[in-house]
Amino acid sequence: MPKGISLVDTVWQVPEIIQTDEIISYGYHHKHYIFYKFTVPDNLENQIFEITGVVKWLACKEKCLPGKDTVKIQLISSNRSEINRSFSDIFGNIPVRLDNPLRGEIKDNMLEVKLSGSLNLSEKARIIPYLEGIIDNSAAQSMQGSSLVARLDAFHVEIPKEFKALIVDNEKAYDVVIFL
Amino acid sequence: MNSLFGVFALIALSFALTNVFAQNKAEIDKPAPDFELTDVNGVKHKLSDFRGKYVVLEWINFNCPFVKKHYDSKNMQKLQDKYTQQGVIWLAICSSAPGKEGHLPKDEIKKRSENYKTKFTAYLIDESGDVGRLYSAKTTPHMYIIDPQGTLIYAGAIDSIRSTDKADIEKAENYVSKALGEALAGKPVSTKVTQPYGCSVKY
Repeated sequence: MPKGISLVDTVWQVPEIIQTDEIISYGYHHKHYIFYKFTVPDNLENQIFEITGVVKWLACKEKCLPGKDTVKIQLISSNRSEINRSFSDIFGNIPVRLDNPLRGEIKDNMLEVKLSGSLNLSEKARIIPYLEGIIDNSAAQSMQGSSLVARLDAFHVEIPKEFKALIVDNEKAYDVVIFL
Repeated sequence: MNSLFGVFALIALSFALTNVFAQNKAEIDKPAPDFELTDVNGVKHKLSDFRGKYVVLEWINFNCPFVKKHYDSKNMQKLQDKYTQQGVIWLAICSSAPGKEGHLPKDEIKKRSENYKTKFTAYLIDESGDVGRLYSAKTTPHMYIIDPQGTLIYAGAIDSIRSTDKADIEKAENYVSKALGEALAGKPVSTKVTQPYGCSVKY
């Protein structure tokens, strides 16, 4: 990474729910783009710089095959931004960030997330905490009144009082913060 | 009468096939659910027969790159050797269903075990996946430690770096080694649960 440029965030698209037998996981298939947000200092305006990254991935079907490659990209820093039209669909597939946190409760090995009035979810909605090991991703989840209920992992980690999660509902997703 | 007999026969058959009686699923700090499985040589092993010894359960699939990472590097064999020499029972369990990835013919299992110079006590075959489900085994590898009183004292990953890269092994904290080391020294296990990583178990 050139001096002065720093990586701020990785922006993931709405993941697909992938069910293999009894195990549910989340991921992407075929061609996929991952976005990165960078900050560039003012003195680098209108300059060409190169970013190099090592990419590691795991492609799974019957077998999981690991892959690794080095990618290089040249970018021109500018004081104006323009979205490449060929990526506009993809930008529409990024989770919507909810400003107001949601309240969660742990009861009888279940996580119950109380949804705010503006969030109308279907029966297909699923919650995916970013911290792995909180809920059992493979277990059924259900809408109970205005709450989304998920089973805790049999060997769940210590659950923080505040954690980030994704709520996926059909092809939409919401980036949320949950307070217990 | 005929239908009643049919139901009874079905229940009896179900018990005979699974060898896993109605038990609660495995939980940390609780008695580890008992099971009986047959190994690759046709020998039956019952978990409760190992009471009085530490037992390690290692979910395995020789075709999984995460498992290969630990066998190609000999990391797993070194752990198996170190701890079985101290009296620990090390059971590798394969819960791949017939026809699924990782379900290998017995000759192939023996060949690969020999090539890898494995040091586990036994390679157990769990074709029905009942034991895997009883322990909520999600990945290969997925590791469990049971103490001499039969209590589950560790469940989770083999180590702290979730990759298929052998070079990461040295940099990683090995949770199994840490937990066994503490337990064998008479100390409480400081990290009882971690998140396993690897290929999904092919039930």
